[in-house]
Amino acid sequence: MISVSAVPALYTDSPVLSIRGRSIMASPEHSPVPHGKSGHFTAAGGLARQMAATGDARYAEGQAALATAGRRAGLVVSLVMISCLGCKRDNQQAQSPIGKVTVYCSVDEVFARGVLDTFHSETEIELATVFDSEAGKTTGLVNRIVSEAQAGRPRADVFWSSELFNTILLARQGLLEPYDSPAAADIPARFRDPQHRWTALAARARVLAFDPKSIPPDQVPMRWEDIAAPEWARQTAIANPLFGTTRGHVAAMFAMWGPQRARKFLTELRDGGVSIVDGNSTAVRAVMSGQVKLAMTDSDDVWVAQRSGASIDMRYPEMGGGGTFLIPCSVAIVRGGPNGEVAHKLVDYLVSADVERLLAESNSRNVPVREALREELNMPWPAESKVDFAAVADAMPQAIEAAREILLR
Amino acid sequence: VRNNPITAALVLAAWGVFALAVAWPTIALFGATITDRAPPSDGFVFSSRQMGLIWRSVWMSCAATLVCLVVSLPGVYVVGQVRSLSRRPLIAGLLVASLLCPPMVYALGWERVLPTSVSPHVRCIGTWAFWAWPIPAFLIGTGWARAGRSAYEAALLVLSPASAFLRVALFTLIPYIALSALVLFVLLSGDYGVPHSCGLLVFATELLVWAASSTRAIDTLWPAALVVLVDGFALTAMFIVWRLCPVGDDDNQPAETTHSPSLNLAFIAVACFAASWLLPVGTLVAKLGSSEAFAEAFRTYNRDLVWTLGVASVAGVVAVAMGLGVAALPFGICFPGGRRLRVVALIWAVIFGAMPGALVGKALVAAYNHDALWFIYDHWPIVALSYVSRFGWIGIATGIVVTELSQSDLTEQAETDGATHLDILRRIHLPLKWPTLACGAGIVAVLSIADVATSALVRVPGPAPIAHILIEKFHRFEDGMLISLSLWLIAAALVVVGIFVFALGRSAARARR
Repeated sequence: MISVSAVPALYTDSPVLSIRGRSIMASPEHSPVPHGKSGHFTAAGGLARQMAATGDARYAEGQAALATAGRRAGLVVSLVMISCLGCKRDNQQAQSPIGKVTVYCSVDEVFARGVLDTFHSETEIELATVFDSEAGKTTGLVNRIVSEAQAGRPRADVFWSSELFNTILLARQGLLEPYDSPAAADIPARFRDPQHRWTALAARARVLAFDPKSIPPDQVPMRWEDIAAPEWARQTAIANPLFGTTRGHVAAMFAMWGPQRARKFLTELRDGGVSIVDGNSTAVRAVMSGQVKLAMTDSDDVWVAQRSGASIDMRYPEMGGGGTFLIPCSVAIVRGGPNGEVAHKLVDYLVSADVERLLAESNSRNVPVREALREELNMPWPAESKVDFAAVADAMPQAIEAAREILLR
Repeated sequence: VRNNPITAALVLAAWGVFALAVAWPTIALFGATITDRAPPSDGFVFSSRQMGLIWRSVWMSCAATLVCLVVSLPGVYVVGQVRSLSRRPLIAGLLVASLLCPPMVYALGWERVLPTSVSPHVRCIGTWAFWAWPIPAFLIGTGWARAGRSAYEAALLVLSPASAFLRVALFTLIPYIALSALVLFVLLSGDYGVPHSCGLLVFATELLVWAASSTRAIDTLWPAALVVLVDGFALTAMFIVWRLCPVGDDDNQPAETTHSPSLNLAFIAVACFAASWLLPVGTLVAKLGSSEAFAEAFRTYNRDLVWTLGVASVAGVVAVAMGLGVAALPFGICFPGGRRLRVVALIWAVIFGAMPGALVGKALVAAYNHDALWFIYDHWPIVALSYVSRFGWIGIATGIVVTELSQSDLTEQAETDGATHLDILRRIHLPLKWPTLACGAGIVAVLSIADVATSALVRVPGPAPIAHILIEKFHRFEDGMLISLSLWLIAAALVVVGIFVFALGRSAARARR
């Protein structure tokens, strides 16, 4: 006889038992011939015979309950699947037969989404976008483009980057398609690749963020090299120099200052106890929370923090050559992308003055490279150290190696 | 045991998912490493920075595990007293509700609850502990329903219920405590979202940086070996504890205790729930200000929300189905040596799942970034597969718990009477154990929703995983949108919990009738 205590507690509470109405297992008159505590049926076909004999239809009812549960579960799974597929279907319905473009975008999603949505609504071209994660700013997408090209099937049509130097490196690897966009005709030559493989626009400045309540503005370092002094280095946060604009900034130091001076700067930062955090905005947060007093960051990170009501301000430190370092966004067509023709239309849009205006008027406040637009929007071009972009890209491998060796080991 | 073609097909389907999600990515990862034929960028040494970060991850995870175990004790008591959660849908619902919200959301809530002077380390540890406490509460509490009951009942003769629980029962539950500690340690040490939300660099966050900054597999695989080493130590420690303190079975445990349960501990358990769930979530609601932001968040991100929830749900269902298929329908049906293969599958899935998310993502990319596999690589299935890869071990463990650790009497009877494996699965395991299976799928789904490290590397064109959008909002200081999206996730979790409690309540009512 199977006793109740021999059956696990969850069994006796089971919903199936309740569907059956009464418990066969616990009731002697319905129990098959038992074999000790283990509960083996010793009578031939005990369970099957029990079903027929008792009419309780243990399995049958269990199956009925399961069928109901199965239908419900099936319904839920179907709904989930439909909702997943529905996303796809929505896209397809929203698009016109004009086509589809796959965009790899490392411009911050909050700013880029509006721009891309506007393009979609104006052209009805479907956009499939991959935004970069905060952890892998730009570098993640660049490596993705490289590995997809190595695999023989590029997935991206357009690369819209928040910086320029990795785009130049992609161009040098032969992964970008030349395209001379007519919409970029009014962009100064310095911001266009002579071989038309990329176009740069909508710049951000590298700045020092500080809390004016914590440091009087007149005490904030005036030159980038000043923050390597021990009293500042331990009060400074920088983003991981392997990524994003910080990577380009360190490379620019190598390009402008030469390797010896740049390595000395990094070494002094390390020895002084600089804090390495995982993003520019994290560096700004560190200033806001009082963990550090200075943050090497981008101007847009300070603008959005100011807009949120934080007590934060910025300085454009002198990098050499007359001002701070400016980093433009870049747009390029990926060689061998699946939708080359339609991609041209998106590039025409992304390099247009309209998009520069949208980014300038956003919380990011990117500075247009078009002088006429700057005048129209009354946005002065910050004092800039006119570094050669190609030279910065040249210095990047060396800068990465040095940053890895000095700061990240 | 008889079998039929449907059984064989299900077996092959379950093992097929295992091959796609675990076996093939592992092979592809090591294949890519060998093909690269290059040492790691920093050579075959662990840098001092890597050692520092792994140390930080270890001590923070250990501290969080310890705090979590302490916080879970009242919950353990309540679960142990209830003995069968299917009889107490409300308690089951409260446990699941706490767990079914991504921990990153709690981190954002706690950031607003606590003063800014509180150390981010403390905030991170606290967030982890107050999110994960239902896991040990469930594991240890369920264990208490099986073992250590007699000693507790005897102690009640001279001690109060609370004292008997703390001074006697807990010592009989050491193996379950060790198991819970291991699960917590592995989960927390691999988490990206909470440390990142607290502004902390830990090994998991840095590993994603290394994975994203290099196209070579070895640059991720080599530092990840540190994590495997640490997890291996934790696993060994747990086995030592199990050997020293074997689980005692209570064959003659009383069906019901004759003493009144401790109201103090029950009250503390409710307080734990309130502190862990209501406080951070309530703060988020209070800080939202207006409902317009809530609606705006849905208008802007409804596709991303639905897509994330859909893919995560699919991953949860597939992971548990795979686990159930692997556990309940042994491979030996089709081929000899199946039972051993099942053990190998579990160990493989656990090791693969214990690896950092960035490495799992790297393995998926290595496996599916081929011209012939575009239909997976370009679309949501690769994201779902990545979640199954990372959390499939939970599905397999759930399958084994459902099929092996319970109902042995009933299944043996059925087998003797000629039921097929499929019959046993359909008519015994599924109807009796659906709450456990649902919980397993739910946990996989919520961990998938919270995942950042894996999905950062397997992003597909189209909607973005909501965890990435949350991080973006966090970095862009868009508090209104951040809170709104968090509340949408909580709302989705509440709907699921509501359905779960309703279904469980109906089942319990039927059982009582």
